[in-house]
Amino acid sequence: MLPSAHAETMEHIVREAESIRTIQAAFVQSKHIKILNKPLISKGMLYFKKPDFLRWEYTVPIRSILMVQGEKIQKFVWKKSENRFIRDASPHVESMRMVSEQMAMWLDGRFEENPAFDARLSNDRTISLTPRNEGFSSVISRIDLYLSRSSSQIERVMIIESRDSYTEIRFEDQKINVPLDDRLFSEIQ
Amino acid sequence: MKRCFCLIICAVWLLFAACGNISSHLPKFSIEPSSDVFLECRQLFSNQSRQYVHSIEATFPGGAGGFLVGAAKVIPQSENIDCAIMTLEGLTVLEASFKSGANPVVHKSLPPFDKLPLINRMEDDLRLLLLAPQGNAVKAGTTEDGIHTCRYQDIYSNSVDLQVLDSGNWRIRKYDKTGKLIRNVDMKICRKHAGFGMTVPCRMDLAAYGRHGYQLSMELISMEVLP
Repeated sequence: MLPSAHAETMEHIVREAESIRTIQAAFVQSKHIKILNKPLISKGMLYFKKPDFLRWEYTVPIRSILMVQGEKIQKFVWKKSENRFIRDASPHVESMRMVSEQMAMWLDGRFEENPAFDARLSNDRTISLTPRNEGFSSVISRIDLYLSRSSSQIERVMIIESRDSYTEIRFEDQKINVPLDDRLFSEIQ
Repeated sequence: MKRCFCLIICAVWLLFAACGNISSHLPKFSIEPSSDVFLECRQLFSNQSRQYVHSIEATFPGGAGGFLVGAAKVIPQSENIDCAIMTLEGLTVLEASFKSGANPVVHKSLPPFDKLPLINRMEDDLRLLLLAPQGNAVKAGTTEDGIHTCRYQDIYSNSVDLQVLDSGNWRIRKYDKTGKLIRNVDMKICRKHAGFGMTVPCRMDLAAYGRHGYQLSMELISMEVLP
């Protein structure tokens, strides 16, 4: 699937990812859609702990926390009028399981084991994931993961839905292998 | 026993009092010859093109619902609205254009937003929330509760009452041709957006009544006036 020189790089990426136990990072998400003159900016924090613990927390403009701890997935959204977090019990939360599984795979370097996406590495240290399922490609046409120059950490993610609609997520201040309390993945705090 | 009876009476009274706040039928009101009330009502909807981003909490019967982000571009002159509904994580679940007098044009839709009745209801709600009422202004005056009210009626005999409350907040009520209340919208005005030269609701609570009733609570995230 990959030219040999690139395959080496892919192996290197996977090897480096194997040494990662935890990731903590801030992120800035820019959602671009045709009808908005300016992108919708969201900010938050990501916490990941192997094998499958994830906390994806938005702080701006809408506070929400998605927590995954193995099979258990829960989401809370800040209700301004009640001044507290309330559980989001919509079926959409269960569909976030797939998203969290994808993120765990990327952060773990398991790009080529991905049953949902075909992974290709390009020269500029970009891994492009294209949906294997035709139905899914009508939702997301491609995901590009941009790796940093100095390491194999993911610096930027582009989720391309269509020519006019895409989401860019930039990770900042990444901390690798810092101790992360398990409660981060099960409690709002 | 006597205390328990009093509590029941109080509970029943509170229930009636709460229901009394929302009359389910088209209310009568005294007509004022002065056009001041109409001028007041006209402030509610600007003629400037603009775009909004809101957080949306939807609640359906049985407690089902969820949180979404809605973006809308409103062109009052042509009465056109472009809208997009996204998950908080940024996935677009609906992109549609609503042109006046035409069928909705859906650019992208994921379940459950791929159902035409839902898209039509969404168009009706967006028009009620973001554009001046359809049809003619038929009267303006004060209700029995002393609320300044402007009434509009469309070609299907649906009525929309715009009300300016003492608090400075607004209320919109839509009645069907039989006079039955079908929508109630409470709009909270925030001062921080007053710089746009128009009054902007920072919170809108819409209740849809009937067999498929639902509630939408919308908080303003951003608003931009378009050139």
